[in-house]
Amino acid sequence: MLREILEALINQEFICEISNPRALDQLKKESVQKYINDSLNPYGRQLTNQDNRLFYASYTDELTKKDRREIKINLENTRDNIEPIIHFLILIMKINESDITLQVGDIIKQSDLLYRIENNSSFEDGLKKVVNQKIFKSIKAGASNGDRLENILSGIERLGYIKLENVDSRIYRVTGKMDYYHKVIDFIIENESILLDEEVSTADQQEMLL
Amino acid sequence: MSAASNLKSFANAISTCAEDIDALTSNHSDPYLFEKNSKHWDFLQTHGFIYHCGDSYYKGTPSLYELVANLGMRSTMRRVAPDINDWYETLETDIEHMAEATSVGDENSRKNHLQRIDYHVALMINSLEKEVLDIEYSINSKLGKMESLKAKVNENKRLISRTHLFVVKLSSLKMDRLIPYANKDFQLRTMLLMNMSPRISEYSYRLSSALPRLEKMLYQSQQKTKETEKIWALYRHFESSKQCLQDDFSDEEIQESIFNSAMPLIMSASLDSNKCEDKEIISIAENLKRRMEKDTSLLTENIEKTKYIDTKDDTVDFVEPVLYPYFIDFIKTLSKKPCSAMEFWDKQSSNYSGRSWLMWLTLEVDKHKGLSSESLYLKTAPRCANQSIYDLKVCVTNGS
Repeated sequence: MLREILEALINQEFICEISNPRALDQLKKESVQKYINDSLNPYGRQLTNQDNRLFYASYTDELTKKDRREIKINLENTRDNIEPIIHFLILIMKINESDITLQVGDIIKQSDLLYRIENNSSFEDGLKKVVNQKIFKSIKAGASNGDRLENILSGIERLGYIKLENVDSRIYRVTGKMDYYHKVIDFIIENESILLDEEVSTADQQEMLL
Repeated sequence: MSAASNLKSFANAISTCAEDIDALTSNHSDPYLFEKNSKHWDFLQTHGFIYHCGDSYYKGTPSLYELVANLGMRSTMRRVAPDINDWYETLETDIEHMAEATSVGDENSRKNHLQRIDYHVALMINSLEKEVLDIEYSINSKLGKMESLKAKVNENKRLISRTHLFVVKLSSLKMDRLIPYANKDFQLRTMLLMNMSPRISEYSYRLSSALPRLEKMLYQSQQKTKETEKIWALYRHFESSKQCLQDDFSDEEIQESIFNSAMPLIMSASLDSNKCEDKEIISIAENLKRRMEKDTSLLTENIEKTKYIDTKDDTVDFVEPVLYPYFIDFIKTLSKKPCSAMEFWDKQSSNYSGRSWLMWLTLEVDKHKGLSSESLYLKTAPRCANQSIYDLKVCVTNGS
């Protein structure tokens, strides 16, 4: 098990209840965390623990030039993935008529999504918009909605945010990496000074008063 | 009529007049015009659920409204709360009356008051029991399925204030005032001190312990609301063609940021020493390769040292040796027909991600003189200076 955990971590995998429940159970033990940290440290890596719900490897404080470069690459990769995933999350919220975004453990049934998309032209347009995002594989102009949806879900799965739990029924489950994604969003909102809903209306009111 | 046959008639009346009762209770002030099924309406009137107010018009009694409210409780989670203060006041009055009756030797009056006290105690315990069970059910079902998260947050807030109110009211009951009366009467002592008091304490404890759970649930819902608000905010940001994270961050800022997640370790191991200027990296790469050759990696050493038993084969299979056979197959495939790295990878069944394959392959190709690679971007977005590689085209120029 420990070897499996180490291999997953050095392979940039995020360990959570959905992606690897057995590994997560082990990683909740302090002794295992120490062992994993001791094993990663010689390689300039450490174990990062997000509320005992998500574990992944990060660089230690003793950064080499290459480590710095890789973190920057990671930032750029993640940044490029933000917009497509935002579009995907919004589409799912609209389709599910939900005022809550996908949460860790949520189930995504490809057939249910497809059924609703096929019966609503605005969802269909939304699907086309999402599939045109650059992180997804290019798709033929005449592709069906099913192909588009499959392409998107596979793309999101490749990024590790969802896991295909049932190949036959095409049922996915949202992984703990979604928590990481929310932290990334927090970082962006803070750094770009993006206003939230309430703040937008407050700012508007203040503007009107001036 | 027996209770059972009364209940059957009641069920019949409710079932037959369900639509009319619904219409009647939906409008609290206006009398309802009754047109048919007079037998059932007579039954409901006789048992105090409706009352006649001229011609064929009827109004519902409080009992009917309470019945309808209780039946709708699960879906609306709303119900008239038992008023603890009123109930307690009545109980105290009855106890005082009973004490007076006892002192003057009026046995009939004492029995009547004792019966009333018994009824009040039972009523209160039942009401509180239902209340506590409802609150615990709401917590366990996480408020069940509701139309929106906003509705859930509102319901959660309502439950918190309701539970809090109950806790305050129960803790303010001056039970010790009943002790002198209870000590004078065995039956009263059994009712108040052996039955009511411990139950009240139990409910008070259960309600108090429900509060932090309700608050935690509210916090989690509010977090989810916040997360969703942020998603929408960022969506608006992108919709107005704005970009993000284009600034240059300092090394420290990046290091401490959420983006500090390590790339696959094989990146270091695969680095070509001649092209890398970082001596530390070269050293790590060389050490790693040496270890792999000897098949005594640091990882295996550590595993052997620990008490944890790994049932799998102990052979070290870092990504590099694992991926190398795929690399050979890929080159063979390329010599037959053009194929991108990801097109090839999608047809393989490997536990390693396509991302790892791409990263490893990018570096591996550079090590072979007869091979060259070209990064593919599925869609070129002009806004990004630094694109991520989503696929790789490898060309065999001179045989590998």
